[in-house]
Amino acid sequence: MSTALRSPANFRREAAEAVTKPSLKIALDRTTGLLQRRRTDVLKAYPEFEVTREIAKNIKDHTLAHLDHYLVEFERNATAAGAIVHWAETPEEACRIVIDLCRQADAKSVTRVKSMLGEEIGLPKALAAAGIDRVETDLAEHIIQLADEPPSHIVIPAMHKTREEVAELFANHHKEPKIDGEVGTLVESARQELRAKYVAADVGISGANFLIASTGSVCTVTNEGNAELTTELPRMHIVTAGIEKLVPEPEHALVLLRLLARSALGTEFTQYTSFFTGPRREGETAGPEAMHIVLVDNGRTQMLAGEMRPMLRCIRCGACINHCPVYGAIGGHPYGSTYPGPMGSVLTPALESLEVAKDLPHACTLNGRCAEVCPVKIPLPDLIRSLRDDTWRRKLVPKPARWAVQGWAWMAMRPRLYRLAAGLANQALRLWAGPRSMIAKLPLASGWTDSRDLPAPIGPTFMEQYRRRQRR
Amino acid sequence: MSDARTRILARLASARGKNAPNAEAIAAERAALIPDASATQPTFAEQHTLTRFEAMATSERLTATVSHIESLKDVPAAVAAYLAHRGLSAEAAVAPALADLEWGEIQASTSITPNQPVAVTMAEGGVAETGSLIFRSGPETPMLHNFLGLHHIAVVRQDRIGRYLESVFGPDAPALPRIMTLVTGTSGTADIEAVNIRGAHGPRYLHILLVG
Repeated sequence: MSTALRSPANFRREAAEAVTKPSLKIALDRTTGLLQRRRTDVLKAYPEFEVTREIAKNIKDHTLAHLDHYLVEFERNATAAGAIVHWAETPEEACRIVIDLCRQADAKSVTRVKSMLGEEIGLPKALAAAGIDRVETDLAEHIIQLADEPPSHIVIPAMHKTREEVAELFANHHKEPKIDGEVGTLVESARQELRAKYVAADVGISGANFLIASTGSVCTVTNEGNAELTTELPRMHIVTAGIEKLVPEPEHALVLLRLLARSALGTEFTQYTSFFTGPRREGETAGPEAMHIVLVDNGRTQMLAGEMRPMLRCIRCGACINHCPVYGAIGGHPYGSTYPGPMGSVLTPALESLEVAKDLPHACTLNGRCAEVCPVKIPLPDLIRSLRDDTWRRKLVPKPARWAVQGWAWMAMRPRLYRLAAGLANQALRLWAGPRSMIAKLPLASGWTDSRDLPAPIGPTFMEQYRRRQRR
Repeated sequence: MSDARTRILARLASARGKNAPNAEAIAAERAALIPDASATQPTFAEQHTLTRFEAMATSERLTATVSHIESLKDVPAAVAAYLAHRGLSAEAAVAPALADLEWGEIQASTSITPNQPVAVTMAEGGVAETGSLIFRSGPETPMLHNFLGLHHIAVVRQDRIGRYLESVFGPDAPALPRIMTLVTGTSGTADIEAVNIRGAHGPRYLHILLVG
């Protein structure tokens, strides 16, 4: 799926298509399975997790409650360190600021460290439109840049690609491709390809994992070391960050860092954790001459004022995505936005609109695993349910679905009739299924049966069983 | 001041409502956010900070190697031994902080190239909890030296290894440099099928010389 056509409005069609792709299913199973196991293992050695996530939640809630205070404190300290702070309300405004800065630096080539905020505001497209050559340095971003695809996961954006597909891309695009079927060789191929590009870049653009108010620092984490290579070599470092990234002090970032790597990749800590405070200082022979920080709102102040406020605690670890059965079946692309999975189903309606993203809150089984694994205790199923209510109230649910729910409600309020119908449906499904107890085709249910069998009910209905036991 | 700034701050103020707490109240709440930092610190079996540091740094995931030396004077010999052991030629980019050592047969230069085979740098300290090294940028300790080498040899005094991450920002810690980086093992990626691979962009090999 190319980057141009995506929209959450196409969710139904894209999801239906995604479940039919075997290589996608293989890639998703390999990766989410591994990430789930690693997270479980690393948390066995960290019994402090429960206490820590409560503290983390309090840190984020406190900062969000006083966000104006902390933004001003951050701006004051970052400015004192020599950085220049910009403010942007919309994606367009944020991109314009970045493009103007690149032009100021006479930039022909920019290197970029993966940043979801950058994706959210459409920075890659804006740079292309401005005629500025963009080099993605994160390995996964490099892969999807070559494939001209959007990220499908916030931590592992090329999760949907198998090694075979990556090998084909590198063979077509790298100057001296190295390919032998091993993942390690592919990584080496990318290392060689990107090394020269770091040196040639005029501007390095990064995001921020945390903004630290008391020091005016920007904290980034990577496992590859590309953030430092991206920002140390060019003349200018531009940071784009959402305003919810604030924490009061470095100690608060440490608590969140303990949760971030464990939740994201099942490791104790990220390999490279950097705190950037201002541009090149006296006596230094390296480092950017200018540092610019663009603080982006893009709907966050509105979220903060409403019911979706807990979502602003999110530290973008991706644990909810890795544990979501819907994501596991369709991958990230059908969501049609920067943020897939449970966190995306809440964020996208807030960042774009509920009208365009109306299907996302319904792409959920409400199994609750996302909330169980969330390191900052975001009640994702509650938020998703609340968005479902909104889609119903605002009549965004498709008519057949509305009729079905209304019909069901009418039946449910007439218990005798309901029990009779449920009993009949139960019998009918068992007859239809035959001895295998699996239904491969069912009228009006092709949405389910096209990609998997429907298990037939195996016994009497709940009410039938209940009454039988009452009699005993 | 930009209009965007004014409007963002105004929206945040109105979201909070009328009863805006004063700075002291916010500070008091902020001071109580982490009642006890030890509650968030992983307990580890190793009694000694240094034992934990070595165990973490050399773990299967971080893949660093460690050797011990008496004093900074022993750095060139230890580097020579490493290069010989790995079959590498006797040359290295060294941080200015280490340039005055007697490098002898090793061709030591403070400049660094994009495809530097070996770089030798000075860490300010370390963290036992995570097996991290702490690097601070400065004229004597340029940050790029820690990233461009395929082999990274890092010198650190063992009395500068703190037990937990909080030691990096403790009351005795100096003000933040332009960039401070916690390096935890070698550069890695899990971007293709979540398979862990070393040497993504930064060093593929990390050798730590513990001094003291």
